[in-house]
Amino acid sequence: MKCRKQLLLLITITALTLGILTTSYGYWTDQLDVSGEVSFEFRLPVINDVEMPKEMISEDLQPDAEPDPEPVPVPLESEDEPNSTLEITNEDLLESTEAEGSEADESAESE
Amino acid sequence: MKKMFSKVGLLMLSAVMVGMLGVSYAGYTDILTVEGEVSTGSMGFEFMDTRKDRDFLIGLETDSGKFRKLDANIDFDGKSLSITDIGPIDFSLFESGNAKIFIRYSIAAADGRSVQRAATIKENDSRSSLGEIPLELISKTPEWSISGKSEDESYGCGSENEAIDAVPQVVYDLLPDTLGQFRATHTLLPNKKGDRMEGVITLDPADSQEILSARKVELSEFDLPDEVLKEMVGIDQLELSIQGCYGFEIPLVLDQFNAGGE
Repeated sequence: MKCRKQLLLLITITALTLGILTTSYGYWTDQLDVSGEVSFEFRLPVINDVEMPKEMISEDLQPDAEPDPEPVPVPLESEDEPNSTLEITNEDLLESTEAEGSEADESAESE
Repeated sequence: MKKMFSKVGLLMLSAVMVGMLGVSYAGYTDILTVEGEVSTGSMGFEFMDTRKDRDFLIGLETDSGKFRKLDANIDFDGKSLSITDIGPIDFSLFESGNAKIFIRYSIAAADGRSVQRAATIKENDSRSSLGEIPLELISKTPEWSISGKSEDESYGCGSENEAIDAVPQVVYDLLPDTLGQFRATHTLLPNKKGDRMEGVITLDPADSQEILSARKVELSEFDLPDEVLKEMVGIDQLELSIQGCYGFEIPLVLDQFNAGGE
């Protein structure tokens, strides 16, 4: 019991002493804060290891070249499809000459 | 009985005599009361800027001894001084270990009744060392760019290039999380008029810094779009520039011991 009392007394005295010291230290001193943000620049070499396809590079190297004209459709020649000129038969020719002849008669009559 | 009376009588007589002595002393004298208060003097300093843009200065001293002013935003409120956007500073200057960052400030007593001067701190004073301060990376979007030159043209791309949507991951990976410890030293002296005190804080790297020098980077690590890469064909001498923001905090403890002494 006596030991506990002494312990309590010791703790109380220590706490009080620390409190007094802290108060007096704060009274004798002052604290300011300086904070900052610095921007640093780092430089280092870069190895150019990128290889581009030649087509992409050639397109890029001729940026001002004129665009290709629109492709003109070319008629396909095939054996299955007969040429349109060959479709005109002798009968068609005769019909056309008969028609031309009748037209010429009509014009003569009118004159 | 007679003997006893004589003792009591003698006691009373002596008491009366002491009383009469007191009365006669009071009759010949007067008492004035003096009340006083002894104070050690409280300390309360604040950052001040009486000469606009001159009381605060941020600068850099290179190993060749040249001093140049650095751009920075300075904001102070009572006991806190905040300096942002310092630089950018080329970090290669610190690799030799002789470059220093200077921060000059000015303080004055906040109250006219408190102590007007703190204890002076000179360069050779043991109190001038503030220890080592770490510079840590602040999570801000870093600025970056790649530039290069060939025989007939120069090229550059980076943060400001619209074709590149985001900062490449390799840029984040390259930026060191910390720049290590910087030695902080502090001097504090009264100004010529004696109404304020001017302090200078210097920051210099504690160790030689070789953070990114040994690192090799390849262009393919940047995952740049083809339209950007096409323009870099034939350019061999490419250089990467990264800007990272690093923060620090320095507590300044002032005392009044020997404040008036030299």
